[in-house]
Amino acid sequence: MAGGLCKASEKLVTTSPSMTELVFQLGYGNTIVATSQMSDFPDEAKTLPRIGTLFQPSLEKILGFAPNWVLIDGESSPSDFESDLKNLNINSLRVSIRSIKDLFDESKRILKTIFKQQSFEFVDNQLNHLLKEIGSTPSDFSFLIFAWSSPPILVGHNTFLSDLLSQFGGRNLLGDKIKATYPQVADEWIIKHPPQFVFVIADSEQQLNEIRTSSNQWWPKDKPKVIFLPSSDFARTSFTALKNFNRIRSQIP
Amino acid sequence: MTFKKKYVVFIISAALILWALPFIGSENLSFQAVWKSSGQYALDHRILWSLRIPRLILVLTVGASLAVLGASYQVVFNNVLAEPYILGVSSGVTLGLVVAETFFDLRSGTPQNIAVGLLFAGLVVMLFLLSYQWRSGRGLEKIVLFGMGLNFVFSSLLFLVLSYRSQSLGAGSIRWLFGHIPWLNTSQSLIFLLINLTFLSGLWAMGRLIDGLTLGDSVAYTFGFSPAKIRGLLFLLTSLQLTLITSITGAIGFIGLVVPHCVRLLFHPGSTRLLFIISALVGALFLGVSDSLSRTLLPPLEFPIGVITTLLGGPLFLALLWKK
Amino acid sequence: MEKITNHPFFIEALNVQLGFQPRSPLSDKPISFQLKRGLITGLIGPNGAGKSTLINALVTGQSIIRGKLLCYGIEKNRVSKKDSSNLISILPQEPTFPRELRVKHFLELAFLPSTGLLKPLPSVESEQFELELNTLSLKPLLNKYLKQLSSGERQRVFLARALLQKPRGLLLDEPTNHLDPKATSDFWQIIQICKNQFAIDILVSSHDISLLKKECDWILAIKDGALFFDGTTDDFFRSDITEKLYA
Repeated sequence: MAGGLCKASEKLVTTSPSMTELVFQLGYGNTIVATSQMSDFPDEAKTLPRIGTLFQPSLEKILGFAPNWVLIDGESSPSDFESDLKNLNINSLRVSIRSIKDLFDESKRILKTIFKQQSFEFVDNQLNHLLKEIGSTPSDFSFLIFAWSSPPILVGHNTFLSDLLSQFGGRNLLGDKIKATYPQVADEWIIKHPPQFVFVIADSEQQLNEIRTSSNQWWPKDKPKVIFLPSSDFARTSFTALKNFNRIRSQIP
Repeated sequence: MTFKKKYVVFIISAALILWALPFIGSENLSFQAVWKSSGQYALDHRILWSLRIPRLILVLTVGASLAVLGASYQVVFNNVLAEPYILGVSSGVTLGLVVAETFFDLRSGTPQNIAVGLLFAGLVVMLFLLSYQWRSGRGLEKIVLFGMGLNFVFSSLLFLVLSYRSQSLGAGSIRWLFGHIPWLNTSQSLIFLLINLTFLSGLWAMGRLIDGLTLGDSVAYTFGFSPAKIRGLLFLLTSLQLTLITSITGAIGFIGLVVPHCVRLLFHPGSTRLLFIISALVGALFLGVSDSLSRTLLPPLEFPIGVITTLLGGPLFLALLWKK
Repeated sequence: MEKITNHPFFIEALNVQLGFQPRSPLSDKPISFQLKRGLITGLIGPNGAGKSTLINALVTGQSIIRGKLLCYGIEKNRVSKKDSSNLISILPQEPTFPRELRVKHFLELAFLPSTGLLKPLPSVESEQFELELNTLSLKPLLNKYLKQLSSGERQRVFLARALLQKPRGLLLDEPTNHLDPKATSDFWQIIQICKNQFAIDILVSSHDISLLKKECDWILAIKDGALFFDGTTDDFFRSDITEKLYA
């Protein structure tokens, strides 16, 4: 976290757990007046008032908090949300984080646009730290990320999580031709493309075990290593995922 | 085209399609993988024999069953809009499975699914029997309305549950709504086939009784039939079969509605039994083709099969109506 | 079957009270009558009088609160399934039929009760059914679809189906309601043949008084759920009962 909480007079509403956590990590957690359901990270966010679900934020409730900025998560908010807010004369910033680069760029954009910051010490520190970590990683490993086993739902190339793994030397077998973020893929393709590592992004151990079982069914000979990425640690597009990945890295020789 | 010629053409095209289906999918298989299983052919061989063949068995079985179930309801209700989901059994089962997954962490284990499915289906059937409407022929419209009501209630509950858990869990649960063909191994598929064949034979055997019903309840009585018993037995058997199918593949729409129609328009079968047999064949092929399409439209993506059956079935049906 | 063949009466009502609920019969006066064999009996009465209920009760055995309603001496619920179709057949008021069926396949439905589960239905074009087909002039219609027929032709087909069951008795519920005069008179000619040549006992329900006067031998009149008249056609039309019936 940036050293101490910065003082600011903004009143912010965030529309996703990712955005909430990111704002806290950038040092402006105390400006958030309300946020979406399931915004439970960091701990301080748990007590914040809620303005609706991830995909259906309530305009009424937002108005009630009289914010001067609404931070919209481009991955989950409805498409007409911005224009609705504009009609109500509320400033909004739509943030879309689909890669590590996005994380840094959008963080700076948030700091500049909403909080009028000119220097980005925290973000630059994180970047340098990350580059150092990447420098000492293995050169190449193939992977697939599973969100569900039956039907098999994979995490596509065009996502934050996939990019995170790619930065550390991974190669998503799904490839960049497939633009979908959570494609449902045919079993036979999976059989023909055994990865070295299978990452599972899931809420519970049970889902992990299911994919382990499916993994044995798809690739009985190759037996890729299955690594658990708990949703609580990796689902949000914030610096948490970066930090937590360091823990996982030891499992990739 | 004369009657007999129509059947010959149909049988030949059916055989050709059936032969081709195992070779259509998201991956191109080398033809020699059919008999060669070592070295470079190992994966292809495995995909063909351990994945595609059992899948095809499953798909053909479900397609045939749904078509026959739809045909039976269309005859018994004397209503062209009747289809297998009309009694609310399927949406009850789907709701049960989604609830079990969301709140009780039930996973994809097939026996558990069937158990949950049966539980909820049982609830629906009980509600249904209590309504007493199935006894009289004049009550048939009321049955349809009752089923519609159940469908509305279950669907809204279903969407409530799905929006409650709108994240990754929802994505997986959606498969119950749009249909999903799970990977069963060969013996599981064959067991599934056998069970459904038994049900279908029962329906075929009831074919003449159902024919009697088409003349009206009073005529059926003079035949020595009991319309209430026939309808009751039919609803029981079909609900059981539908529960089994839905707990494995979710709700696959359109087949039960469209296939019997197309069969009637094209073949004018002279009896319910013949309607069932031809519908079974056409339904099987239709779902087989839909399943192959779901994997070949945008490989390696696989579209939920219910989406494909609707996309295919709608225009086909309209085209047929247009011609007539 | 022997007992049935030799029974002197077609339909008998023994103190019958009809109704849909056990405590509310259509009438307090029980109905009793005995219809002789070999006649065409007309069933007449205002709408809602209970004509259809009576016919329905005969066919299903339901809606009988008290008393007994017998066909050839047997109550409906005591008839074996096997004998049912040879006993009576019915041409209901608004017959339902599968629209996509050809006439010959529709007619073959008459053989449903008498054909075993695994045996194929006999073809209606075989010799044993020549007589019925010719009487009803159905040969040219056999390959047509039911929906292609005129209402007169369709009614003949429905009647043929009822006759192909080889019944002893025939119930007709308002059979000529929707037919034009020519079709109606053709139809009644066939009914007379049924009575005289095929020796079938007939009960016809109708509103057409002039036709009943011409064609029936016996009249059964129902009003308000009770028996209003039970006697010969001549007796019925001699008096002013008709006006009283419809008053």
